[in-house]
Amino acid sequence: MNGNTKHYIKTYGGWLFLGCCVLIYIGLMVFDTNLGIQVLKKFGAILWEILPVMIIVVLFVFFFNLFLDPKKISKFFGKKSGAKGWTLAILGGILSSGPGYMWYPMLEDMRKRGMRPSLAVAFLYNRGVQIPLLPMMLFYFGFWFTIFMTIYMTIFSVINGFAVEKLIALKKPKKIFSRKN
Amino acid sequence: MDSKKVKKAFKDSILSFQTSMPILIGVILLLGISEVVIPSSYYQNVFTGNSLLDPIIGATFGSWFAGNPITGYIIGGEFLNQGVSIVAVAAFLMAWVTVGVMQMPIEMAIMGRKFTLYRAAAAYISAIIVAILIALSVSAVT
Repeated sequence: MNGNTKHYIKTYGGWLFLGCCVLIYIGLMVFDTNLGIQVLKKFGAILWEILPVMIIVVLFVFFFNLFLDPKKISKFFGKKSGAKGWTLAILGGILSSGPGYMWYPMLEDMRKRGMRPSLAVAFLYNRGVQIPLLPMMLFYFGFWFTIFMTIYMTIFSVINGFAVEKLIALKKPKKIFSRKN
Repeated sequence: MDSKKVKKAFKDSILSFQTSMPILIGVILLLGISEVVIPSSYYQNVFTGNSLLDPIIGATFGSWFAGNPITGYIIGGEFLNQGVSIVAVAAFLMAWVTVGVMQMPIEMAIMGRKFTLYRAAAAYISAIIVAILIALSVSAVT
């Protein structure tokens, strides 16, 4: 893949992906109009559900851009953030609402400013623990299931964070023989 | 406050969303299709009753067909009512809320391919381990 192709995919990849999704949807609409309308309604419902979260995330990113410079991010979420960084990432994940993909732009923004990848992993992992949804979880799975799932998720968010950070840091082994040789 | 700084912060925050917006809409469209096209009863037929195989099946299905946690709780609750083992339900639920294969295109585009693949792989393996731990812990206290 040459540089131009890479640049093209990076710039227009999202639109290509959306185009493919729309084509799938059009196909569905052609073969089964009722199903297509149901999907469209579901799409609208999900979009409506995430709209408030989207606004909150845009505001978060705005305030981060305005008040948090790389030095501050490094202090809270950088390599030397220690237990404070983990606690903030875990609490942030638990307290954040809406779907996880809404938070990717904010996390990537923070990573560019010095956030550890492990803390981004912990944040995303803990999004599985949703405080407003705890009553529902209790209703379906009972007290002990809910308690243990919450505790193990918090512990494993740290383990996963460390594991992913180590894996990202791994370098590809150097080739001993190159093709030219 | 410096108005230039405010304008720049606003522009940057909008830009960070502008690039991810088409992928975000595509993922929501796919989620809408999967939630409508695949009935929850479909999931119930895939479990075997084998206590070793079911958590792997649960985690695999949870990874692929991830949606919002509420839907996962409802499907998981239905599984339990249908007699699916607690370890399989826990693996399904854990993978449902932590892996998200369907959301991977947007995650890769924003967070990077390496980060996304390693995170998803770690979450998948953890889903199986945590499910076993949950099942053991629940059976120990009840």
